[in-house]
Amino acid sequence: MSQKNIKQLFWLLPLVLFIGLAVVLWTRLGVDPKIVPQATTDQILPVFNLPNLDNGQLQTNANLPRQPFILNVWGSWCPTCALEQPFLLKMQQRGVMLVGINYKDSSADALAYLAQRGNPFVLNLQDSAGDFGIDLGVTGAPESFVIDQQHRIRMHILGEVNEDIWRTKLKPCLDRLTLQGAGQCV
Amino acid sequence: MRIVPANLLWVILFGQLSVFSSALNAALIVNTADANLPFESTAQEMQYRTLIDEFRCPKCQNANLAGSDAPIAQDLKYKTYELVKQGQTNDQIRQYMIARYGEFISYKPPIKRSTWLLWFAPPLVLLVALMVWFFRVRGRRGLTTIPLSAIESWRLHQLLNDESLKDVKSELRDDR
Repeated sequence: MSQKNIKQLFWLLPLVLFIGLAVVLWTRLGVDPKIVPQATTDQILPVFNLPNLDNGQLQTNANLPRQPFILNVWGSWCPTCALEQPFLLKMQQRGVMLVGINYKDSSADALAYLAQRGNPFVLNLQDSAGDFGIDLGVTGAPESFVIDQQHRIRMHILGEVNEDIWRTKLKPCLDRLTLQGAGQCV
Repeated sequence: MRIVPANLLWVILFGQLSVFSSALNAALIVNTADANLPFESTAQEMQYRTLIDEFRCPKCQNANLAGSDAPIAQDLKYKTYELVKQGQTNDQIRQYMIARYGEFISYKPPIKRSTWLLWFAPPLVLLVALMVWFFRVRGRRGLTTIPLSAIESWRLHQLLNDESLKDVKSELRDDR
């Protein structure tokens, strides 16, 4: 190719750059840009000393189950929590162990909520100030964590838990932990 | 009444008691409901404001803590306040947040292998562009034009006026 032809091609450079940029941007089109905080996943559960919602007795990490369980962050003030509550009960019926974090709530409201809608939890910890939530990397309610038998966080789900999340995420993780022992889910 | 400094710059420029500043702050108070927090020193308040400007709200994601009213943003602002009051450094507070929410919590990404491209690509592109420009200019300066001899001048004149070479000439013009 002669020098002249190469110089003429320079004219096309902006077009080529544009197409390249368009392709790069196109691949992100329609993709959820939300970043899901996973900093605490695979970390040991933070240390806590929180009252039991039922009787006010202080609970520590030692009071948690010694088998894989789901830690669910909820509040009576949270509409999506009420929406997922029936599914939590369904999970309980399927033999899943659920521990609740009653997040930034009052005892009276929380107990009335459970009395009215049913209580799927084996234990409820009261995080009135939301400090334990921050230690867990919670961004709001509801959120759910899968905790393994050695009390390490193995999964962090933001938002509502439903049949779909159960089938694609929670169940495979719990099954893996039960069958193969403590370890990574993802 | 204690005037709430919605923007520290105004406080520095006009002083806390200036009527002007107070009127401006009244207008800005709406999105700084947390601004009533008492501080022991201006330095601490400055540190707090710098940090809540730098941290991203993990719920809303495209806003910083200072500009967000999400409950978690309020909590994290208060947590930042507590840590500042405890006398923790910016780095310590940053580490606290990153440990819980990951590096995306900070709008100031750390310099490490995975962020090298982010940090160094723009200055590198600028450097390359400057170098290309520099060498091109220098290369051009080296070119000197030798004046045409009398014979060459005559020949050029002849060519330019030769009707039979019209097509060649128009092509030469296009090729400038």
